[in-house]
Amino acid sequence: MTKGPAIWGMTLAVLALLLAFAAGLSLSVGSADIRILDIPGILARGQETTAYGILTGIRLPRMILGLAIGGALALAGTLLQAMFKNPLVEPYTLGISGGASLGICINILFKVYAHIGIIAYPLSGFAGASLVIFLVYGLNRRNRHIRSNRMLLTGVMISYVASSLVMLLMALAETDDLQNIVLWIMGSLDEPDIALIRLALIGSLAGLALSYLFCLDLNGLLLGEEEAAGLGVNTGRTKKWVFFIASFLTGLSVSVAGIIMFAGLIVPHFMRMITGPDHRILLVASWLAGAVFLMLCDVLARTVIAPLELPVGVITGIIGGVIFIWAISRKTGDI
Amino acid sequence: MIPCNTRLPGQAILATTLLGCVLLALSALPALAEEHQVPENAPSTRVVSLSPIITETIYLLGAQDALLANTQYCNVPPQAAEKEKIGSVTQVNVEKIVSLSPDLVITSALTREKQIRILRNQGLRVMEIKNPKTFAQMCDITLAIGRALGKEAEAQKIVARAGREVAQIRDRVAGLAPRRVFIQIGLKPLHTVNKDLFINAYIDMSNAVNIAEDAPSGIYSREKVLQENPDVILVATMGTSKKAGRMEKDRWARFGSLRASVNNEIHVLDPETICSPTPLSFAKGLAEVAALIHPGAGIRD
Repeated sequence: MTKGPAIWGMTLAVLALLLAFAAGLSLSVGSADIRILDIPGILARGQETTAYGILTGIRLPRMILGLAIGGALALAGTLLQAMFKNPLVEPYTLGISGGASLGICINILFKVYAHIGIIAYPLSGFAGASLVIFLVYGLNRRNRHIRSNRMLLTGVMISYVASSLVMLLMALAETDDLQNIVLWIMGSLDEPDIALIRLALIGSLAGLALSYLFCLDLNGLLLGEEEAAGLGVNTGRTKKWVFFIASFLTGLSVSVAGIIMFAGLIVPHFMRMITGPDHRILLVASWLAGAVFLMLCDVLARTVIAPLELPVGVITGIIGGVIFIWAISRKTGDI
Repeated sequence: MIPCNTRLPGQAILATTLLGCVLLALSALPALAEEHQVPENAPSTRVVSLSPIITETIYLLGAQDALLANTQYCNVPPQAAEKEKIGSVTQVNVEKIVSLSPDLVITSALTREKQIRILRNQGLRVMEIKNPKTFAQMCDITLAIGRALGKEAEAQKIVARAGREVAQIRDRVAGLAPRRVFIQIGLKPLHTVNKDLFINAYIDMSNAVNIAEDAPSGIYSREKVLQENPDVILVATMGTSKKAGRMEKDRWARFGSLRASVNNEIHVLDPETICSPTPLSFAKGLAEVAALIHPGAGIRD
């Protein structure tokens, strides 16, 4: 804890400014020529214009979803890295995305969506993710004690099993279903259902709020499990809750927006380089930075080779990966 | 282990503040879009096509002036490539479409369901075209697009002409003994078509039976082909070079037990001839396929 409140305040202020900048960019960049200064005028003129429709029906929902999902993934990554004390862990390591993919595949193959509508996609994704979460947890719980490394390995194995099962289902699928599965797995922030976007934002913020109940315990865990217990941290309970918060954040993200790689791995590392490992600032900083990162990546995804829109995961992977490698190579000492 | 009951009040305050933010977010998000219904109007004059086949059909109907924009893959006929682009077939730029304010968007089976819903939320008229599985469905699609663009008479003419050509071919092969056919469209894994893909119709209408008709998917086993021992093997591997097709033909030919190998009835087919499900190109492709399956029927005469 070398850095004081002054630095924290500055970090938060910078992140808030970046967030406002990213949000403004997200609203003002696109195929239609809408400049940021025109936005108030367009909103004032009301519903009938095309620009209004584009702004409120396409760009705003997309921006909010980017914010919610980016924040959720980065926060989940931060929590899991702290809990497992392993810098390689990211939200998808534990097989949660695999479970969600499997749920979606089953939904498509058994035509669940034909009975309950398009909401079946996020629902089945979330069901698949939840199943994996409880499986990973249940298989590694012994007497209120969680065995981290075993849990990690179980998660990685479940992730492989799930992706093999997805491939199996794809091999068995009809052409139309196959296309559907491939498109879904690519992921997208285009979401027509406002209720779902609202749910994603609320879930993401609730995850942030809940994680703050454990920020001091997480700081204790940094010292090692026995030291933390010595400080009065109930390590079993902390790890359990942190695991569930991070997992459900991931499940929510995957079931709404598909698989968006790297945001949950890179952002936590970056923020840790900037703020240090104190979770009192790290959690909210990661959330904000994740939101900024995903919104900016989405802006790039829809502009680099416009009118073609790239899947946002392509951009998060390439940009995030390259910046990350550069940052790590500049850093002396270990992570 | 000592239970941790002592929490700093600051932590609780932070958590409550953040929960407050959650509630704020709940109320601060107004209904962002409502669905409006656009009345079914007269012939569309500003159309966006989201697949090459739809674009081709629009040109065949002579309605290209109504075509506002299409995808990057739309290059048949060549003039179609010069139209405004709204992305690829799978990666569609919804905002671009909306900003063009079309009066009809024709989507394909590869268009994302979510994007279709956004287009509808924006009050656009959307016509969804699914992949045709039979010749009759291909005709229906041409007719439906013709109706929407006010080119019904042209659509009828095209469908009637294609129907006549198909009927002629079917007459030629009708009296002959049906033949058993295997058609290969992919190399790795070995890929064929079952009855869910329109390519099956080329075989079906040539008075022949596709040995993989009832397979659950297109992936098929080489052993099964040897066991089924079809009379004819057609190799039309998509996305590979002509050389790959010839190599694949040689590979089948090495199996001495195959009837098709013994009788020299393994044929490499240009995938272009069988990959375009419009009525007229289907009739043309059917003539080629039927001639290979029933060489004695005199279809090429």
